[in-house]
Amino acid sequence: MSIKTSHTRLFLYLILGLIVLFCTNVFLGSIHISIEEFFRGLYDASSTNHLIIHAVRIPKALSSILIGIGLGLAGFLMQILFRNPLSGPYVLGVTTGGSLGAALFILGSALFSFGFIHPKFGIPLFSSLGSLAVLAMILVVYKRIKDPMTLLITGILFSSISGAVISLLAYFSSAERLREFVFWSYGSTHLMNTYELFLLALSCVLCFVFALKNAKPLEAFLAGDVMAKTLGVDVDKIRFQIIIFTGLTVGVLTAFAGPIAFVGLVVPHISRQILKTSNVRLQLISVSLIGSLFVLACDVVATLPGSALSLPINAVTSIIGAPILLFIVIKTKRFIF
Amino acid sequence: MKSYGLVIAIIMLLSGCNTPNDKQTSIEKNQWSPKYAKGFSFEKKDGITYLNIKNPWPGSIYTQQFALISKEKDLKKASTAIKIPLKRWATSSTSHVGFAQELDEINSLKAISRTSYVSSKDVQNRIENNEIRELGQSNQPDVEWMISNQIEAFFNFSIGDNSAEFTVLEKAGVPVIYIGEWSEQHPLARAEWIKVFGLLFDKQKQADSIFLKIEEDYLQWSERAKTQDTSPKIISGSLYNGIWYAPQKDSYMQKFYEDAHLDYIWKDLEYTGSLQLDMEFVFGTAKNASIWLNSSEFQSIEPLMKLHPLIPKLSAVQKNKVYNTLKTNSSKGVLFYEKGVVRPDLVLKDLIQIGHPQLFKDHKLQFFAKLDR
Repeated sequence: MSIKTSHTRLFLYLILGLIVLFCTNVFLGSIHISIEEFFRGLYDASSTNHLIIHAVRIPKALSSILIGIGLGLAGFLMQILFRNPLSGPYVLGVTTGGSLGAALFILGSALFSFGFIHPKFGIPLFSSLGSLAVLAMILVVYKRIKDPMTLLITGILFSSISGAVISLLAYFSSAERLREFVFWSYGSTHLMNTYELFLLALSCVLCFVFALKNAKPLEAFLAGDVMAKTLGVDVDKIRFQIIIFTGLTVGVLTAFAGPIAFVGLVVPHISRQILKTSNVRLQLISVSLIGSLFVLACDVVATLPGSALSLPINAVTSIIGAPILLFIVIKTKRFIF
Repeated sequence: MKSYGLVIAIIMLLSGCNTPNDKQTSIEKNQWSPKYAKGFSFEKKDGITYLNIKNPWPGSIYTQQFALISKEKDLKKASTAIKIPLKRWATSSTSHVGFAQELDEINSLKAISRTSYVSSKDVQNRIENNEIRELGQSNQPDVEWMISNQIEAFFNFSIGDNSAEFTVLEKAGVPVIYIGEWSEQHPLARAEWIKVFGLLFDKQKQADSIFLKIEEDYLQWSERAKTQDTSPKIISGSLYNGIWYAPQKDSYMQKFYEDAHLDYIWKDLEYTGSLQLDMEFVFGTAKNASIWLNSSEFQSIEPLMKLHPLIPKLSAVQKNKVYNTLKTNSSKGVLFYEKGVVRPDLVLKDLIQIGHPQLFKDHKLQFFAKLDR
């Protein structure tokens, strides 16, 4: 793989930007910590700020990075799978499946007696099960009808059914439960414990390694089934693998962070517009870096530094993402896919 | 499955036969259980008082235990110790403000989620003077501020969300206490949680005597209401998007109506969550009800009548007997959700005043307000 100087420079800028944004994200929070206190808090375990920095801010920044990478990669792979620029992690219905799982737990607790499970474990567990169930159903359908269009329609159908069941559960739910589900559905880069961060990182790494290992087949796949088959790519196998890896990544992300919108759609586009290459390996690195940068930046805004209030990350990702993409498209004067 | 249902129904029926009045406060083997509330108990072991919180949200089997320690040197005796009396606390609910006010403990309240929901003038003044801080959304309280400002305990009302934030708080030595008063189904059970606050503020005797007086008045006024021959038919709830939401069977609002000797039309309808009724059904069953309570956010009858063509035909609307619970002590919040939780006696008195105005001639409504024409 030959990397142009311009790409190397771009990656360096992105890495530098990531470091700066990571530091900014960790430095800014609801309470003001001076630079001197901040550095003391980094190393001095007896300082109150130590706990705030290490237990609150760093895990939050790390989860933002991982959410950005995961959603960016998932969106990128989905756009390749369907050869459709409008595809994103939502298309397969896995996110809605995760939402359905969470809704069954939060809204259906009274109906199904799930009260014995603490929400700390119940929400991620049910959300993962929901995502996996939808993923399994999609795979069953795909095994029978190996057609991307059918897959797309199946995903939309599962999304619709899940959405309808969620509406029914919400309709019969109490105000308190409804409130909890609504807050969950806003998505969150909230604090995650080491175990959750590990699972998130693992799913991102697996997805990245899969895509990196299959970079050439993925490039061939983008050129169409016939071309890919001519080049010796097992089209069905690669499609199946994309579904598995993307589904699992999105399932884990939805379980811990809720359904975060727009990132999976906008990040691959930003990456293509600024990288201007269809080289999948370069795109993977770029998507991961831009995804991290994007969610970190959105998280800084959503945190509203200095204020006790915070904004739902879902709203911020859309509000910030759309103008950025529009700006890039206008500047480059064409839409690259 | 049917036989299980039958057994559960029989158990519920039998347990339902024990009214709170029949129960006795049990002080056995240093264990103390409340008379009405089901969500907490106290026990004493090795000279230390423990607060046990049980099932803080409906259906949960989650429990918490806190050792309440008054001497610094004893703090290491228990893993989940709280130093009492609390001098700096924060909360996610306005109803906790009501409890603290009764115990004169607003001084020690340092932060609250959604300050705009607080009705108390005193608390609003303190918010303006930066003595009480905004804590953000109740599901995402400002953990950083609580840690850096040495908050000694966080009273949480939510149903277990945001456990990661709470884990961090606990790691920083800020216990998160689930106050489950809202899931109690008897108005006096909700008020009885004042005993938990009393213990935490080291004002147990004061809390006990306040509750005793509340209980005495509540029961006495309820008895008085029940001496009346008639029981006015009432409806409750509000219309939203064509669906009427009303209190369900066995809810605490229904208990209020029953104790105020009001005949709640839908008292026997069973449902999960709140009742959701079709407007045609509402009209068919409730057109002759003379009083409409808890009519949502409207301050006057005009906009209410525009919600549905059948609403102006309701007898309660025609008689101009529609009441909401939007009263406040300041320009913000709702008193019913704040003081009304800890003072069910006063809520009951309001309801009796509405249904049986001849009983308390000089009583001014505190929580309910009649909608203007």
